[in-house]
Amino acid sequence: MATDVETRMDTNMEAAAKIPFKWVIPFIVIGAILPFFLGGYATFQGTLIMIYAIAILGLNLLTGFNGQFSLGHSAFYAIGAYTAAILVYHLDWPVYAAIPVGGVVCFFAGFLFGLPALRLEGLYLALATFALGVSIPQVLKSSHLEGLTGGVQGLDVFRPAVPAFLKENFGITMDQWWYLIVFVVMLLLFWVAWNLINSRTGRAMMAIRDNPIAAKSMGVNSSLYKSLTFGVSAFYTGIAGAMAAIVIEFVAPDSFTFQLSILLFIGMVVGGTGSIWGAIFGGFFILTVPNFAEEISTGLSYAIFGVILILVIYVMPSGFAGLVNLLRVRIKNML
Amino acid sequence: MNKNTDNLASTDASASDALLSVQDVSVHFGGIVALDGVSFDIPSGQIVGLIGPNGAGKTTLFNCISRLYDVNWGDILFNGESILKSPVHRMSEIGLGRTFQNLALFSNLSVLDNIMIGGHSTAKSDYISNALHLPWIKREEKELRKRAFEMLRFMELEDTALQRIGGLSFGIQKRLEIARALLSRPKLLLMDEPAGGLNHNELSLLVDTIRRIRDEFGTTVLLVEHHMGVVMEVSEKVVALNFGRKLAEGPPAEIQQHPDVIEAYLGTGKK
Ligand SMILES: Nc1ncnc2c1ncn2[C@@H]1O[C@H](COP(=O)(O)OP(=O)(O)OP(=O)(O)O)[C@@H](O)[C@H]1O
Ligand SMILES: [Mg+2]
Repeated sequence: MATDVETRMDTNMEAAAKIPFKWVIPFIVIGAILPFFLGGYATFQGTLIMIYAIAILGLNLLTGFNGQFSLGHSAFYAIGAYTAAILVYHLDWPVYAAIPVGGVVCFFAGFLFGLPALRLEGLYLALATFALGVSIPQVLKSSHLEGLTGGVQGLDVFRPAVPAFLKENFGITMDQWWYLIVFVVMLLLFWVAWNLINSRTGRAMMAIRDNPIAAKSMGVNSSLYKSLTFGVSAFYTGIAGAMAAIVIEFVAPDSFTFQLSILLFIGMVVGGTGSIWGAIFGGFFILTVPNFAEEISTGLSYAIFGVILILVIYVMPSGFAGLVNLLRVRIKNML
Repeated sequence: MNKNTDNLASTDASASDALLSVQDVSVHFGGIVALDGVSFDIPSGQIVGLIGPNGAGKTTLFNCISRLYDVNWGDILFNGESILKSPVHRMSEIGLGRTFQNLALFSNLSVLDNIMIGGHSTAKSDYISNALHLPWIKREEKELRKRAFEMLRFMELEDTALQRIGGLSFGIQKRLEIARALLSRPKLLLMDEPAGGLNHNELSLLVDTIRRIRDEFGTTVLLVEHHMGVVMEVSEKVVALNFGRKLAEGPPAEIQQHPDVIEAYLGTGKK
C-alpha cells in the first residue's frame, strides 16, 4: 500500500544523488571533439585549462567542501610535477606511470601535512600553508638537491610519440593526444569528486565545515576526515602538476611560486567555492585573464587583472557556478 | 518497543540498573566551578528532567556526557562502563545522542543531508568506496535515506526534506535537531532546552514528541528545560542543580515543593 507521500519520497530518494546526464553529456561530447576543430595552440591552452581545473577542484575539496584554507597548494603542484619529472628524467619511467605516482606522493605529503594542521583553525592554517608554499621553490633550488631537481635550471622531460596507430589512422597530433589524455583524467577525477561529495564521506566533510562540534557529536571522526581530505586534495593538485610537467616538457622552481597558490585560490572563488564543475571556469579564468591583462598593458597588467577580478566578484558574488544556478532558477520560474 | 526490551536486557550486565551514572563529577573553568561533585543515575527507559537557574551547569554537564568537555574529577558510566577515555565521535556509536541549546544544524546543507549525518555512525562506507561509488554503497545510502525520511515523518517534517536550513523557522530547526539526533538510534538522548523559543502549539507537540520518542524507540531521555510546565509534565524524575551542585533529586511533585529548589528559583542568591 504505497501512499502518495511514499511514492513522492521514493522519487526524491532516487533523484538526490544522480549525475545530471542530460547536461553533462553534451559538454563531454563538445569537450572531446574540440581539439579537432581548434588549432594546435588553442588545443594546448585548453589542455592547460583542464590541468588548472583539476588543481582547483583539489583545492575546492579542501576549502570549499571541508572548510580548511590553503595558500600553499603550489607546493603540491610542484611536488607532483617534480616527482613525475624526476621519474622520467633520472629513472626513464614511462610518463604514463609517472603521472599517477606524482599524485600518490602528493597524497602522502598532503596527509602528513594535514596531521599537524588539525590543530590549526582558519587563519592559522592559512599561514601554515602559506609557509609551505613560499618555501618550496627555494627547497627545489637548494644545492643539496641539485643533483635530483636540476637546481635553478630545472629538468627537461620529453613526451613520447603519439601511439602509431592513432597517428597513422586518424592523424592525431601530439597536442591533440595530450588534450585527450588530460580530458579523460579530468572527467575521471570530476566523477570521483562527485561521488565523494554525494556520499557519507562528503556529508561528513561538509558537516565539519559547517559546524565542527555538532559534526563530532554526530559521530564524525573529524581528524580522520580532515587529514584524508587534505591528502585527497593534494592528490588532485599533484596529478595536475605532474601532467603540467609532462605537457610543458619542463619543470623549474620558478613555475611554482606562491603566486600559483593565489591563482588557484582565485580560480576556486571565481569558479564557485563548493562547486565541482565551476573549477573548469576557474581554470579558464586564471589561464586567460592574466594573459589578457598583459596584452592590454604590460606595465599595468596586475592593476588591470585586479580590476577585472573585482568586477567579476561584483557580478558573480558566489562564483560562476552560483551565477549559472541563479539563472537556471530564474528561467525555470519564467517558464 | 522491541528495542526497549533490548535496552533493559543489556543493562542487566551492569551492577546497577542505571543506563547513565554520573559519579561525583566536578568541572572547573579557571576560577569558576561549573560543576561541583554532581552525582545521579538515569534508569533505563525513563524520562529524566534536569533543571536549574541560568549558569547552574546544565549544559556543562551535557558537554561532559558527550565528551566535549573533560571532567576534572569524578566518572561517568554509560551501560556500566566509563566513557571518559573515549573520543567525542565514539559517543554517537555507543548510543549517546544529543541536541544543542543553540541551534547547531549544518546551515549550508539540505534538511535531508542534515538528518542523514545524524545517522553517520549507523553506516560504515569509507572514503575509498565512496570515491569510487562501489555497488554496495547504493544500498547503504538508500537505506539511510529511507530512515531519514521516516524520521522526518515521525517529526511531521517530511515537507521540509529538500529545503535548506537557512530559511526554516526556529521551532522547525529545533525539531530537526531532535530528528537528527534520533537517526543514530540513541539509547540515551540528551536534549538541551528543546522548548526554548517555541510557541504554544509547538510546546504541546513537544511534550507529545518526547513521550513518543521514549515509547516508540525505547530511548531514555535526559531533558534540560527552563519551561517548568514541560519538565514537570513529562519527567518521571527531576534533578535540580544550582551553582554546579545538586540541590535535589526526585519525582516532579516533590521537586516542585522542595524548599531549596524554590529558593534557587526565587533568586535569593543563596551561597
Ligand atoms: N567553555 C567554558 N569556558 C568557561 N566557562 C564556562 C564554559 N562553559 C560554561 N562555563 C561557565 O560555567 C557555568 C555553567 O554554565 P552552563 O552553560 O553549564 O549553564 P546552564 O545551566 O546551561 O545555563 P543556561 O540555563 O543559561 O543554559 C557558567 O558560569 C558559565 O559561564
Ligand atoms: Mg545551558
